[in-house]
Amino acid sequence: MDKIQLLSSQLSNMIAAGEVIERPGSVVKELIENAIDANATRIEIVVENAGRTYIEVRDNGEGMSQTDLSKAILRHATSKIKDEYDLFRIKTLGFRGEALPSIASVSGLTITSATGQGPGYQLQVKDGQTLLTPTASRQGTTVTVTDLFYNTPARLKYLKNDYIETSHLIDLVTRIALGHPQIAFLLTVDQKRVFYTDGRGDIISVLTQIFGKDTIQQTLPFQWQFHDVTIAGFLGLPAIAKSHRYGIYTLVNGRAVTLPKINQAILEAYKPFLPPVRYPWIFLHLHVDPSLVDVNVHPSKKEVRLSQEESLKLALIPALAATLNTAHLAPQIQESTGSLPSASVLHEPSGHEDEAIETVSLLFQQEKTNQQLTVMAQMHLTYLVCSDAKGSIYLIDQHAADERIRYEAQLKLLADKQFAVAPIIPIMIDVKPSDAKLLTEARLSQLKEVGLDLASFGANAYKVNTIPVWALDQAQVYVEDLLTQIFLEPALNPDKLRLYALASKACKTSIKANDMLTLEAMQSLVDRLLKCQYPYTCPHGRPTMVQFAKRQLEAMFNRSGF
Amino acid sequence: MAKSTSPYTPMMMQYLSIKANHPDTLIFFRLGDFYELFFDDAKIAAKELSLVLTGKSAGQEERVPMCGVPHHAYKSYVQKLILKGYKVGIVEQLEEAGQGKGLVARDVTQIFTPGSFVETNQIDHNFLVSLTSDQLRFVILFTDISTGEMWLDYVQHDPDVLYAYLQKLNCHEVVCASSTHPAITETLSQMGIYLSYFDQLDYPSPSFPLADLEREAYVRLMGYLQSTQKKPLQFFKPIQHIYQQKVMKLDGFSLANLEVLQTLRTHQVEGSLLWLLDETATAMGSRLLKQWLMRPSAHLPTILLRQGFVERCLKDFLTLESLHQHLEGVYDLPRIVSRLHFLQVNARDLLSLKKSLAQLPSILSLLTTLTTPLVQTWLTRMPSFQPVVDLLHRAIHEDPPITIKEGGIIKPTFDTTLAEWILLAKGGKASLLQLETDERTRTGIKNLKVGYNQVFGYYLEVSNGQLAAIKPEFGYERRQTLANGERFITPALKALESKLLQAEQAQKSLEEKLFLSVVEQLLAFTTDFQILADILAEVDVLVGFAMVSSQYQYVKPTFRETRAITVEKSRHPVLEKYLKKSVFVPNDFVMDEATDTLLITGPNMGGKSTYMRQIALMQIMAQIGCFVPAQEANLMLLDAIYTRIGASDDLIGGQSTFMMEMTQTQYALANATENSLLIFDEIGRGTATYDGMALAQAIIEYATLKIKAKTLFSTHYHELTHLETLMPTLKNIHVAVHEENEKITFLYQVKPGSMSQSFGIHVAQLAALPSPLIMRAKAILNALENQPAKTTITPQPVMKPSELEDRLRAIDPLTLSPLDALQMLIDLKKHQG
Repeated sequence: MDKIQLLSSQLSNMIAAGEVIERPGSVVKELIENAIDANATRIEIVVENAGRTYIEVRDNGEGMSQTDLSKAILRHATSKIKDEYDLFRIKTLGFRGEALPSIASVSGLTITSATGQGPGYQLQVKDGQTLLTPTASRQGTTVTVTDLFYNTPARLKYLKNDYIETSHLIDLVTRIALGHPQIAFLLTVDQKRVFYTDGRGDIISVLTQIFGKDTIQQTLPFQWQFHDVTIAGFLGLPAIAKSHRYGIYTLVNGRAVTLPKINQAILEAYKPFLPPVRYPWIFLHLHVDPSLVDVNVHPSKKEVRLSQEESLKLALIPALAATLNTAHLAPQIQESTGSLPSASVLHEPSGHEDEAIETVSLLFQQEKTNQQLTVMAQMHLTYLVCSDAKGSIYLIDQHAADERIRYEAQLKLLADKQFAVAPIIPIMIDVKPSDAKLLTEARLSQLKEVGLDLASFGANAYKVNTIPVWALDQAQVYVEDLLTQIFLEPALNPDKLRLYALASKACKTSIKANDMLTLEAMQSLVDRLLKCQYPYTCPHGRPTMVQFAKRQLEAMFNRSGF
Repeated sequence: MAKSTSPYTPMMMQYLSIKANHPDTLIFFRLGDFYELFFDDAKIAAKELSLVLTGKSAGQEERVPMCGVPHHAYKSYVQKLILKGYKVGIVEQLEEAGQGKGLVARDVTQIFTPGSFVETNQIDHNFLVSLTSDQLRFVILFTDISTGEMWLDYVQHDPDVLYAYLQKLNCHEVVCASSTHPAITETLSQMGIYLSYFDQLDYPSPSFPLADLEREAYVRLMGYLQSTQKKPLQFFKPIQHIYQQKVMKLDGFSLANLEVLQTLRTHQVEGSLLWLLDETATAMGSRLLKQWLMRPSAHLPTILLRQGFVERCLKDFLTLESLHQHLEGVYDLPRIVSRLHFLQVNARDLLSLKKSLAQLPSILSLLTTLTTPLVQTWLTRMPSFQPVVDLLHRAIHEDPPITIKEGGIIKPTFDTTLAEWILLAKGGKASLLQLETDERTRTGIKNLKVGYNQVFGYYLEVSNGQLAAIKPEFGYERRQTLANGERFITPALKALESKLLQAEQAQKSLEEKLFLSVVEQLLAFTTDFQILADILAEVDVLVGFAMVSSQYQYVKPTFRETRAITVEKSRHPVLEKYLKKSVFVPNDFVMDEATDTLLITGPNMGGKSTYMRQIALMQIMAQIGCFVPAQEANLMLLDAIYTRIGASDDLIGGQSTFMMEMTQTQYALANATENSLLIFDEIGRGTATYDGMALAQAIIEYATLKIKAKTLFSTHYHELTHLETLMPTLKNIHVAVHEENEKITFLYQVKPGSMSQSFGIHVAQLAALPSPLIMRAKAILNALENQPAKTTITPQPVMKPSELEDRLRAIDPLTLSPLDALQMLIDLKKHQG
């Protein structure tokens, strides 16, 4: 008996779906791109349960006729290219004719479409069976996908949890909406509106509608041209930097894509402005002649290549840095970064940008334990200039460093329960009348947990029975701080309150900027900092030190060997 | 109730004399920390508020029934009583207890009535209506005493119209003469409106001119308010004469039918036009939006100014968003101003005022970037508040308590005397601390403590183990025994304490005095605050329009001089927001100059009502200055919309649905002009077929040929569609249905021409009626349709009105003074001759 058989079309579609439809986000992406290609001016996306149970994309585009609709789910059926000539001049977003048949093969698919002439039609597909019925005739197409991957349990099993799939999906729609300010998008997830854009064509409005005005007011506009490439965008200031890489938005001709080289350029340009393991928020839209873009790299169309990518990257870094420099960023490093971007240009590109970041931060952490820094000078009465054995230069913020040291020292004190003392000279604290009202028995006992025992002493006054030993000298400030905190966050547990009290105390009592220090004091400060468990940030999360690696210095002076 | 034979206690006599002056009012009688109610008042309150009824001995054998509420929480009890339709009078102690000799003086300081009570956080208006009338018309003067706004309007002398008007205002109390016709007052009572009769017309006449009837309404209203509020009423803004404004008339029926402010069935805001449009950030914005929706403008320049601002905002979303955010920081200014005048203001109100004013520079600079004519008018009207901001900043503590009697409301830096008292109070405490150290040395008791509690004041505490160390010569006086110690006082301690208390008391009363002086200074800015509130309310509403317009891709409508409405791809604004899982089918709407009436046929559920409503809603949105849900909209400036839609509940009860339908139709036909929009949804279906059809045709003829109003008429009487051939200004349109294999699909698409079938049986089938029933219905329908065609009746051409009739129609008797009327009559007579 012959063993080799032709696959049924349902089965071959299911296999192809593996390439095109990886997760709910891919469905949404394919459907939105179809809507855009149909010249829609408004696209509404409704998603439930991370898209596993329900995805709907509605557009007001041209719509399909009854016959077009029945062909839509045939494999390699597309209205977008007719011949090979078209394939290399792709202006539409989708073109392979794989999307709808692939989706249909792994879900319950309903397409409702009308051209505005006569009735609309609804096509329902499940398990390869189709049903076509007439319906109301609002011009446009609505695609509903239910029970995604119901028949491919393996795929279903490998979906991440709902939170991750939803974030991925929102990220995708965001990127598409950014590329199409002239189309209104409305994204609703689990009955809640995530964002809408108004489709009035103004990119600043779209950015505000998606990211909120607080983000957009923290950006610098960017305009740049390099040969045939025009780039327009907005560069986020360090204040809105992220702890992850998803704040980087790059588009090519309206299409959200990943551009590894451009990402490298962005990270390089931002490096001097951001503390380690922080990533910029940035939006860049590249306008390129379509013939210079290779989109047919991957079926999911996620990644594209540009011709002359490397030289584009090299030129982009200083351009971005120059714009960033125009803003009054952290002034203390501005002087030294004047030539830094060009120095970084000479840097060996280290493959994938993700790895680069991770390696750097990893190195940084490993070096920590046996690091030795020598203080050389104090700058602006605020920064300690140090060097290490490898020739790197460090700037350390003396206030942030001392805060960290005191904080950790007090954490140790805290472990020791005997930290509260009764003051020998009685102390009285004034409390605001409004606060006095809020100081209930419950709250007073909450404070007792952290060693602060207060007794009423007439109108708006309290006598201190016991207080943590380290707060003795600044009792009034300490109590005010704690009160503010317990009123803000009533359910605070004692541990958190204790930590808060410590951080506050550490900050208030630490060496301040503009405190003149002796060399010995500085060296002792740095040594103690390095012995801390987390020496690189202050208790509030600001960096304590900035590093200039030797290779960076060499690069700045064109001394590097490559 | 009180037996006069044996006297009550003096206090109870005082109560009785006050109560005698307010027989219709529940008296809250202040006794120490409670408001007490006595006699029948107590019985009522005990029942309505679920309080425990107790008694008070008052000099007689029987105890007087009594119940009470704590003074700090009385407002919520008052509110409950007001909602149940009672008036509540507050009797306060007018002097500190123990200051005067004998009985503390008491009197009514305020009377809360249903029309004047406003909750602390209430946003909506609460209107008090003053009603007067003559044979021809009712004068409706209404005010919200919490914002100081006052409006005046006329309606014809038709009780139904009056009821609908009051319903639309959602008013809870009407002040009128005791001679008002009982038929009217009874109906008003049935509607749940509290009637207050007030015949004392001695309030001074206003400085502005008013007609006699208007003055009567004004004097009655102000006199009544004076008698209940017991305070000067100097913050009322000038009266807005609604009948003089160019507004689109929207009667109570239409507001309800079109679901402008609330839905028909559930009376909820959600699902109404207000719900869609209310993106306001401030209370005054929210109130203004409601007013606009009740009275859209018919004044083109006003509409264009608003459109200009919305359009400019849409171009700059960042500014729009920022404006909205800053407006969110603005508090309910008119209410604060009203509280200033009633001296019910507290330090937090002033802080709210300060915070609101702090938003102003940002709002102004944002507005400045939006250079539209409307912004110019705002900027030129905008007063300067620098002195106010300075004063509040210098005087009011950043974190004050709610009451003004406890101190801590005025910054010590504001007044040197105050600073001194505070210093003294503080010094007193420090001395007490010092005393603790001193006493420890003197007695040798190491753990001796100075402490404080509310009941005993300051004390010295010594633990049991150390009690032996206390010697008589220390002068310790035992005050309290605890489980593990004893508490003492000494003369020195008491002396310190009384000094301290004196200083604290002086500080508190000085602060209250200073606070009142600040309030006094702020009163001078009343008009400025009101102007500011007006401007911000308008900015707020329009910013909201821009936000909604942005979100749903609305377009700017244009208004033509001609009587034509053409809309491309119009949508129903509310349904569009409401539909979550399906899409709304947009439709074109064409009613050119040559078309006055559209006759809409088609099946039930096909979208006829929705289509008619969406055009009406679009006109309302356009005339309040908002953008509209369409691709392109050319509208006309309507003077009114009248509707008869669906089977709405009878407003007052007692009328059949059909009677309601006819009443509303009558009202529409009596008031419509050629610039009005009339909407009739399936008129005549509530009676026999021929009866209904005859009425329907006659109504169409009257509206189309006589009034020439823009009329939308939906019907299932297909026989009426032949009118198109007979009346040139009438056109047939229908909602399309796709029929395939005996099954129908609603296309929700409106097309020219008529539809001969109603598909009622199909709809019944969709509703899953038993199939034998459906079969039988089909058979009957077949038999009926094979009967010979009915005769059609040619429309009766309506006589062209004479010039005299035209002139008569132009007269509005509601606003005519008797003298003008006489002059008019003489003119007409002359003309006829």
